[in-house]
Amino acid sequence: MTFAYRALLRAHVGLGLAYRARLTVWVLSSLFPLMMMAVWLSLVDEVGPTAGWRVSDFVSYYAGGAVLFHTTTSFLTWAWDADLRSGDMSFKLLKPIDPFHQYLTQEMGLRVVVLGFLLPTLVILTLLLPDLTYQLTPTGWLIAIAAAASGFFLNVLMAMAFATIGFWTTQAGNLYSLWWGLGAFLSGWIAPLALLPEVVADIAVLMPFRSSMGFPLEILLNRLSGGEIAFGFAVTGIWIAGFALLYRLGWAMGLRRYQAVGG
Amino acid sequence: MARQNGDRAVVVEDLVKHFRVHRREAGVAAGVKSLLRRKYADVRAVAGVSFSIDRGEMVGFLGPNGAGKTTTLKCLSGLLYPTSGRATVMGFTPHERKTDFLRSFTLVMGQRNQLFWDLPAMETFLVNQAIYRIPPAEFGNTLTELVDLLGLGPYLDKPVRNLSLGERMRAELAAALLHRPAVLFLDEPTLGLDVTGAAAVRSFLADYNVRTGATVLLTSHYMIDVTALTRRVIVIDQGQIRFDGDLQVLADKTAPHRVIKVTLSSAVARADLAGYGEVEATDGLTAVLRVSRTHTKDVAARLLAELPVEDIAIEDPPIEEVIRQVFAQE
Repeated sequence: MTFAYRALLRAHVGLGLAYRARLTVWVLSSLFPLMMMAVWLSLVDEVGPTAGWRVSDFVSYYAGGAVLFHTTTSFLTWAWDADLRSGDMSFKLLKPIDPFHQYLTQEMGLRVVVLGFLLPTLVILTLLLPDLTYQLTPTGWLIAIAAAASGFFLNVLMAMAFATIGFWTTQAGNLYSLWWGLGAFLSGWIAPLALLPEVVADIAVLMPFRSSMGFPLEILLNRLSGGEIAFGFAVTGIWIAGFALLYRLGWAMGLRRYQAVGG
Repeated sequence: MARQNGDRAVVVEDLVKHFRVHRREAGVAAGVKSLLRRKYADVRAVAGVSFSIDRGEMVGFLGPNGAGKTTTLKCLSGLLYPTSGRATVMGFTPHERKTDFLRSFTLVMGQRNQLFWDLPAMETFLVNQAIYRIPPAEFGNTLTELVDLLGLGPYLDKPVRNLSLGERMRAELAAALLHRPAVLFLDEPTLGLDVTGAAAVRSFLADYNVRTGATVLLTSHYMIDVTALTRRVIVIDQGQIRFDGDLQVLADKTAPHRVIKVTLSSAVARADLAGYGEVEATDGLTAVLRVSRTHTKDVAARLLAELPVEDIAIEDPPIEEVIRQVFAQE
């Protein structure tokens, strides 16, 4: 399995690098969180710190958010949907390795490419901008990376669990878009959860969306206690188990309905 | 002597596959109507098919478009879950999709592409090496052999999207055969290839069968593929098998006539030629006659004795015509 992962990863990194224009567009789409940051900064400029959040907090939060968005968001539902409609799923099914691993390495390969561009950019910006700073110990960094990695894995499983709906309807991508829209709000991508109404923030920490965005960002900003970090990992773990189960069920039941169209 | 199951690579018993398909007429009104009230139809793609293939045998699988060939191949490859019936390939039940089963066969679909589109074909080969767990030495030997036989050398480092159809098809075959599968399901493997490319693929497949003893089930609309590679054919139409046996027997049974082609040293009128058989074509100096199989020898002798014949050839009707007649009779 290690060899297969290595080979698949190498191929998908190669695919990620194949089109320079696509890569540029991806990196440019990182600007969205920075626009949100500009809104908050103008608010801080007018009324002073908002709920205890200063300029440096917003700058560090959204800069980290831009990197996390590209490294943890999964678009697999749409890729899977396209594969089901075109029949390209058949080639994945013919291989003696579960399509789950093929899709996972596809996602990982693209993330490696994007990280290769975004991380150096972030490092350079932290050196240039005094407001962009992360006061973390090496252990804190490791915990933040572990949180982001588990958030990425949860997002992949969530996307794949939704993708199996594609065996029953052609609307899996649209259904996931609805779910993803809700997630964008509750993940902390649009606004830090600490700035949302308390009841919304309380719900958000129990939902799966925070795991890949708000949770690692709050660790990066040193805003969580040990207990809160443990709770965040527990929530992520429970959702991973839940979506893994849903995926396996959807896969086992859906595969019988696969029509292998195209060809 | 009855064949044992152990001798058989593929066994299919009463295989049935139905699809439920959404139907709607063309136009905006029909689109809105279908939004409110969906109409579905059951398509009986495979309707009770049974056959078996011995290990090492090459079999042609023939039928018109929509006959059920590809659906049968997809059932045998584990892509489709059969509605009912039973199939085994190398002793495995395909839809169980066991890893050893997936390593034992390959499915090549002429109009589809398993290669990474934006990368050189070599990347797909390396991924397949890892996925199929091919030891490095064996991979090196097989790759060298395939590159050599398929003439892939100049194309290995070109992105697949930049290859011509023929080059891509050869790379596709190499990717599909790197793990040396014991069973090959080939669905139109020469589709779209030029004469040279198609001949190269046919020659390679024949050679592969001889060297490895692989079992091959081949569908093709090009009869030259079938006649060059297989003796036995299975003819399927409307999801049911119409014939299973020797290609020559099918020709004899379906087309009880042969074709005599004559070249004459001086012109002979069509009316005079008609006395020997059905005149398919003539320009006075050459003629193509259809005569019944039982009278072929007598007619040929009469032609030689009675007309100024320079050259004469007796041929079976083209296999395309035979197959056309099989389907026309249904």
